[in-house]
Amino acid sequence: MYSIECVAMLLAGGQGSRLGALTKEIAKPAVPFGGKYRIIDFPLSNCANSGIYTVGVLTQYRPLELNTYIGSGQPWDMDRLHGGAFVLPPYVKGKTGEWYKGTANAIYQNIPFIEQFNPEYVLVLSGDHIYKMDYRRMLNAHKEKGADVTIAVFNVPMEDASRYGIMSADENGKIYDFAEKPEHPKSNQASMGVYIFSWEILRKYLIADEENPASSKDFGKDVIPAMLGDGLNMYAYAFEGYWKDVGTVYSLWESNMDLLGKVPLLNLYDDRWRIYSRNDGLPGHYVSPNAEIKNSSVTEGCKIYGKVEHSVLYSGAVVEEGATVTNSIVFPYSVVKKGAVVDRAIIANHCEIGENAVIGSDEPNIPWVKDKMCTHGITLIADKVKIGANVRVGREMMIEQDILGGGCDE
Amino acid sequence: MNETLGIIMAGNNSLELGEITKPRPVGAVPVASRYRIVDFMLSNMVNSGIERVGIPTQTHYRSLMDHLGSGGAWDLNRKRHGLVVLPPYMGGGGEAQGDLDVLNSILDYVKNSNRRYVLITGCDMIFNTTFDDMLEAHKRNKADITVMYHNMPDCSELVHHVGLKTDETDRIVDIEIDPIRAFSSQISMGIYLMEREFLEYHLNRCLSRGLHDFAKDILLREKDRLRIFGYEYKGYVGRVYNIASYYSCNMDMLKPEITGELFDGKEPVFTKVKDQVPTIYGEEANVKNSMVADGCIINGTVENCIIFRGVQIEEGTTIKNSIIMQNSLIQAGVTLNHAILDKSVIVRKNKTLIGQENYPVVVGKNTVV
Repeated sequence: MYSIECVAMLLAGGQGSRLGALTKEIAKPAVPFGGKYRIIDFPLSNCANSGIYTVGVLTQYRPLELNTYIGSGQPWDMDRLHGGAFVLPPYVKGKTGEWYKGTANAIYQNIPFIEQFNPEYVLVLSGDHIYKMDYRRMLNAHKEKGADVTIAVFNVPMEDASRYGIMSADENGKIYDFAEKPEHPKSNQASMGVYIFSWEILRKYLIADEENPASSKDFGKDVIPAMLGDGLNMYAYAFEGYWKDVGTVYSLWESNMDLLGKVPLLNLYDDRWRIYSRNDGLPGHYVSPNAEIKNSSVTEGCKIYGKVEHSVLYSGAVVEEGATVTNSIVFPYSVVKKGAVVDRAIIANHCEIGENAVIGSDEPNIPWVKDKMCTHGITLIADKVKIGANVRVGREMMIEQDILGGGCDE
Repeated sequence: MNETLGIIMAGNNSLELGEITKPRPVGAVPVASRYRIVDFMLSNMVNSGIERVGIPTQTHYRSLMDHLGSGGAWDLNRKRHGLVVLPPYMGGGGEAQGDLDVLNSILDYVKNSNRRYVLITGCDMIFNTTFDDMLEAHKRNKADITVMYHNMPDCSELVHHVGLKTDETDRIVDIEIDPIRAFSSQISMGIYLMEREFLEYHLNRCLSRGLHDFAKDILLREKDRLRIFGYEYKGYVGRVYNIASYYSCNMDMLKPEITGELFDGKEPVFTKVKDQVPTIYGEEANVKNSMVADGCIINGTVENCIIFRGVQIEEGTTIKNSIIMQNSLIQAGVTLNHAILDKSVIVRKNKTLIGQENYPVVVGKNTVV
């Protein structure tokens, strides 16, 4: 039987509710990132660059855009005769079809999918993080140690440790304790949600977990503690480099800003580790005679007539004459019209910011209702929203509907 | 137009383009920050619904094959039809003396296509259209051959050209090839539409009489006997035939009305995707009136330039009116004006290269200055 050594299962069903309006119509992994990417491009490109070309993408929440985006998997070199990229939504099984109840249940429901490839190892990933990682090296460590389970860990600052799943491991990396979001963390090694399992063992535990009515069918909460309780060979694999959960409006903004600066924290200029994405086929960007661009990232199809500083502009974004965009990210095909000012904001897809409008104003002329998801002074304008001329939107607001007028200072 | 076979003649290493076509045929010449010239014709065909395209090549075709691959970027990696690069066939007649020899060398491919029509083109033009209306006109006129042309009031700079005169029905009544003084502003674009069997018949007829040139031996000789019609293309056409025209076609990309027509319309221009990172502008960047592709790092002053993918421009440089191709590195303190740098050129610290508007300095591929 034809077999594939390692099959990756990418959990892409999460809503990412703390991203507010950005994930109203798309799943979190489909959220744009870094000018021309989407979040899911990172784990998918990591797989391709690690030589893992068989990837099941588990979708559940608002999967349509993600389905189209992944397509045949061609952008990630995953249009294969054997293996490739597969979108795996929950499905009906006789009378018992159901949604994915948790991360472990999602893999459980796809045991028949995995078995088709007869793998030795299964790599479980989440579609929520920005990082560049060679899974092959992790797999090699897994084999060398003769591990049953290898969990990638990342050193987080001790004061943040209680927000993560925390591993405690001995000097050989063998894990002896795991705590999900502990109040008093024993170490600062956080689980990255990247697991390699020897398939036979995982299969056994998934079936057992499914039969356990008390289980919440989650890897971090149920499966990993059960394995640890049984004394399996579980090892931590320390990852060094950039890793960020872009789960909140602020962290998404911050992670984009990490692309900028003289020595960017997140460096994507790496020919040996390219991040692949589906390309819109737009020409190089145009910079007009009066434009001014400093310390920014600009990509294909942008047209810049105004001033852009410390910002990330995505494919096809337009900044018109006299407009100013600072400390902001502007998603694909949004237009900032003449004289408008955008500061510390996320402008989502296909928005229109009207002439002389202000996004991120300290003196708004519409009712200033701050949104609890918009922290650190970030203002969020949702997909396809039109902001009328002269409207001033206050900081930390989340705008989900057109505001065409109603500035109250005329 | 899926009943049409597209044939794009990749052409020779044109002498007039000098250094730029030394390593590649005209079709593979980089233009407009991320394209090769052939992308435009190939996209025009794909956008017209043509599903089968053959590209006969003559010399130095590795660069072109590298770019085209299996045709996936143009959606032409198909089981039925698709894109085929046809390397030169040296058996039999020796080196091709004219385009008819090239066509004859791929006769089997043409026959096997089993398409009703054949659209034969070159690949030295930058424009965005579909050929559906041309086919309509061809059928309506019951034409034997339809020639696409455009209006070019001043064609004195063209190295080769075919001038046409048409009557009120657009039927071609007179043709002159490379006249010293242009006799018409209707200039053929070298795009010919005809039925496949018609082409097969005339190929055989010409070659058996020692005739080799489509324009001279079919269009000119047979203009009175055949129904040859013109079809005017009214949009923007950038023709690349020498260094000056290569330079000005690129500079046309700084005119929003032209890029609007080429890139913002209904029909996309496809090209090979390289997955480069977005371009980063540093604190020292000062870029005006330029087109910049992805993958660049810019820290200098750039004015009126076309910058291709992966170019690095260091601090304290001043680059004006120039074309910098893929992966070139411009080190600190360099001054460039009216320069064309081919791929992977390195200009070392504090060097100066200055050309003239009608005679830009051209630096060949992989050169270190």
